[in-house]
Amino acid sequence: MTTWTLIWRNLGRNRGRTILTTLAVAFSIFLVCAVMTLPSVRDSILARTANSLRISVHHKAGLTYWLPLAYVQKVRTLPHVVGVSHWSWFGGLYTEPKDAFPNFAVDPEKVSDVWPDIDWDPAELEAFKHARNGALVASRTMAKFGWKIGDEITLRGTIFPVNLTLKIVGRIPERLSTSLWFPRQYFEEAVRPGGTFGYVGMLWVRVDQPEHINTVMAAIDDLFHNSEAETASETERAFISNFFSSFDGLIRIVMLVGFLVVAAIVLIAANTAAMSVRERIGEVAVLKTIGFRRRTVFTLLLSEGLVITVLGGALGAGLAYVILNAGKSSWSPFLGPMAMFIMPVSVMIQGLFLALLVGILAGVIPSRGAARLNVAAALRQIA
Amino acid sequence: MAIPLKYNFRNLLVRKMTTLATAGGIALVVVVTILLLSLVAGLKRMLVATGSPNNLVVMRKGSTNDGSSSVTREAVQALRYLSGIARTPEGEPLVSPELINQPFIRPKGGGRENVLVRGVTPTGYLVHGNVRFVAGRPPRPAVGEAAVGIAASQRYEGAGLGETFQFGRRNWTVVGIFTADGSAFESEVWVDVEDLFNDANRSTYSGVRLTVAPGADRDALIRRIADDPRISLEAKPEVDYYSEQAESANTLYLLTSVLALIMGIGAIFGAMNTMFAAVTHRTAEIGTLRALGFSRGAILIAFVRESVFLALIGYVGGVLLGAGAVTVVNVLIHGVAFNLASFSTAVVILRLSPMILLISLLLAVSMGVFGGFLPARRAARLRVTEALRRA
Repeated sequence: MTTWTLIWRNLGRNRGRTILTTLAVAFSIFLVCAVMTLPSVRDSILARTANSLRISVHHKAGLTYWLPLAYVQKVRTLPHVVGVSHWSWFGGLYTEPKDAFPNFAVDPEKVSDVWPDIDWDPAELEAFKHARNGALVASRTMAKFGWKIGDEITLRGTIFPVNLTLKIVGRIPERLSTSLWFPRQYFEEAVRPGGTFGYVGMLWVRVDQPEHINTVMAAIDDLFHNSEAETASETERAFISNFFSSFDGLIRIVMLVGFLVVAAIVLIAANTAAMSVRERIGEVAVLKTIGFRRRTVFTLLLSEGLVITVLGGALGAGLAYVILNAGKSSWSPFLGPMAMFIMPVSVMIQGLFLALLVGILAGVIPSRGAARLNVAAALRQIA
Repeated sequence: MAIPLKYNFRNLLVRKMTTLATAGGIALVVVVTILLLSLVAGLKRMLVATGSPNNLVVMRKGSTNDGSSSVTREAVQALRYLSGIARTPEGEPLVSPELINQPFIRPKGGGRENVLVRGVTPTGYLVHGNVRFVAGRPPRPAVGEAAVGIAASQRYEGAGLGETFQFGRRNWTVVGIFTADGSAFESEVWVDVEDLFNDANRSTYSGVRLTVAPGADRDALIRRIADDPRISLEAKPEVDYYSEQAESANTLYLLTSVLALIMGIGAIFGAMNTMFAAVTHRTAEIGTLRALGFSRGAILIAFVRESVFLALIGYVGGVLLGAGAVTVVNVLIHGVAFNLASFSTAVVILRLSPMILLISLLLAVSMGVFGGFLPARRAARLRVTEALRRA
C-alpha cells in the first residue's frame, strides 16, 4: 500500500466530512477569487499602459473643463509627437443610467496613429473614417446589448440636448474596454448645427520614443502656460491610476473581506483536521509502533488536509473562472470598469495557492501533534 | 421530556477548541456581513437622505443628473414666478439655481480627485433644509469663500475652517463647515454661484432646486414646469431623483448580498462538520439518553439547539469584531471614498443599524439550524441497542 492509497482511503473513510470540508473551501475560494477580480481588472488595465507612449493632456483644473480644439493643431507641431487624437465625453445613454457606458467623440483619421497597439481590423477602421455617423464599439458592450456590426443605435444625450443615431461599423478589439467611439465631425454638427463647438475634453498624444515622454509633456504644458486653458499632461499610466484612485476605498474594504474569508476557512479546515486526527489517535499510535517515522506520519496527515483544500480550491477557483467570465457584466457607474468582472488566469492561480496555504496553516498543528504522539500513552488510552 | 439546556452548554465547554474554531468561523461570516451591509446602508443613506420630499429638482429635459444639465437665467426667472412654490416671510421664492462643477481637489494623501463643487445663492441654504452649519457661516458673494461639507473638510488638503485651498483657477477660503444628515452634500464644496460662473467660465446654471409650498399640489407644479412652452425643462421630486441615482449602486448591493450568502453557505458546511463529529463522539451517550426515556424528538431538538448555541457564540464574537471594524473605518480613515455615477468622489460612512444586527443574527441562527439539522437527525435516528453496544 502506497502513501497515496493510504491518504485516499482515509479521505474516503468519513466521506461526509471530506465532502463538507471540500465544499466549504470551494465556496470560500470562489468568493476570494471573485473579490480579487476587482483589483485585478484595475491592475491589468494599468499593466497594459506600462510601456505606453501615450500622454493624456487635460485641463489643469479638472476633467470637466474643456480644452480649445485649436490645441490639437498646436500640439501636432511639437517635436517627437507622432499622433494626436482627442476624446470628448458625450455622456449619451442607450437605455438606463445604470447601464451607462463611456462614449466619446474622436478624430477617426488619427485612431491608428495614436492607438497602433490595438489590434484594429483595417477594413473597419477604414469604414469608420468614411461613415458620417459610424461608431466603433467595444466587443463587451456589443455583447451586452446584443448589437451587431451594421446595426443602427440611438444614444440619448444627457449633457448635450441632442440624440445621436449611430451606425456600428466596427469593433474596438480590446477585452478590457466598454467604450463607444464616434466621429468628431458628427458630434460638431449635432451639438452646434451650423456653427462650431470648438472644444475637446482631452487630448491623447503619442510620442516616438519612451525617453521623450517627459520632454513632450513639459513642452505641452509650457505651450499653454498662462493661456485661457492651462493644461496638465500625464502619462497614460498616471492618468489611469489617478482615475482608479477614487476606487481605492472600495478595493481596500473588498480586500479586507477577502482576508476575513480566508481566515474563516483556515478555522474550518483546521477544525476538520483536528477532529480527524483526534479520532485516529489509536491508529497513529499503531502506525508508529509498526515503524512509521514521525515525518511519514506528519506528511500523511498533512497531505490529507492538503488534498481536501486543494480539491476545494480547484473547484472554487475553476467555477469562479467559468461563471465570472461567462457573465455579461459590464461597466457600471459605481464600480467603473471593475464591474466587468473579467477574471484573469492569474487570479485563479492565486486562489489555488491560497487553498494550498489554507491546507498548510490548518493542518500543521494537528498533524505535528499526532506525529509527536507518545506511543505508549496513546496505546494505553485506547486499550 | 426535554433534555436540559445545561447538557448543551457542558458539551460545548468540553470540546473547547472545536467550539472556538467553529464559532470563530461563524463569527468571521458575521463580521463580513456586518461590514458589507453597513457599507451598503451608508451608501443608501448617502444617496437617499440627500433628497427632501418637499423639494423638486428641475433640469433640462433628457438630463439624468444636474451635473449634465443646463438651465438658462431666463428659465430661472420664469420658474421663480410659478405658483405653488414656497416663499420666505419676505416673499422671496424658495428657488435655488445652482451650478455644478467637478474640479480636481487634492486629498490629504496626495493625488487628485474630482470633487463636486456646487455654486449656490443665499436662498440655496434655505431650500436645502438639511444643510446645517457646525462651524462658521455660509460664503459671501464675490470674495472667493467656500463652505465645505464635513466629509470633504476631513478629506482634502487645506479644507479645514479658516484654511485656504486651491481648485479651478483660484484659491478659496473656507468660512464654514456643514453637515447634511449623512447625505452626499457632505462630500461637496459649496461656493457662491457667481464666483463659480467666473471660475468655470460658464453662463448657464446646471439645475434648479425649489421647495413646494406647504399644501400646494406637487404633481400639478411638476406638470406646469413640463408644459411651460418658454422653458424646456422637467422637474422631479428630489427624493425620486436621488433614488434613481441610487439605482446605479444596484450592482454593488447585489455583489455584497451574494458575497455574504456564499460565505454563509461555506460556514454552514463547517458547522455541519462540527456537529457530525459531536454526534459521532457521543453515540454511546445518545444511546444512554434514549434508554433513559428521552424521545427522538428531544434528541433532535437538543442537537439542533447545541448547534444554534454554537452559532450564537459566534454571532456575539462577530458583532463585537464587526462593530470594532466599522468604528475603525469611520474614525481612523473617515469612511470609504466612492466614485459616484457623476464621477465625483463621495465619502461613505459605514452605518451599523439594529436592522443589520438582526439580519446577521438571522444569518447566524440559520447557519446553526442548517448546520445542526442533518447531524441532529442522525443522532435522533440512532437505534438504542446499537448505540449502547458501541459504548
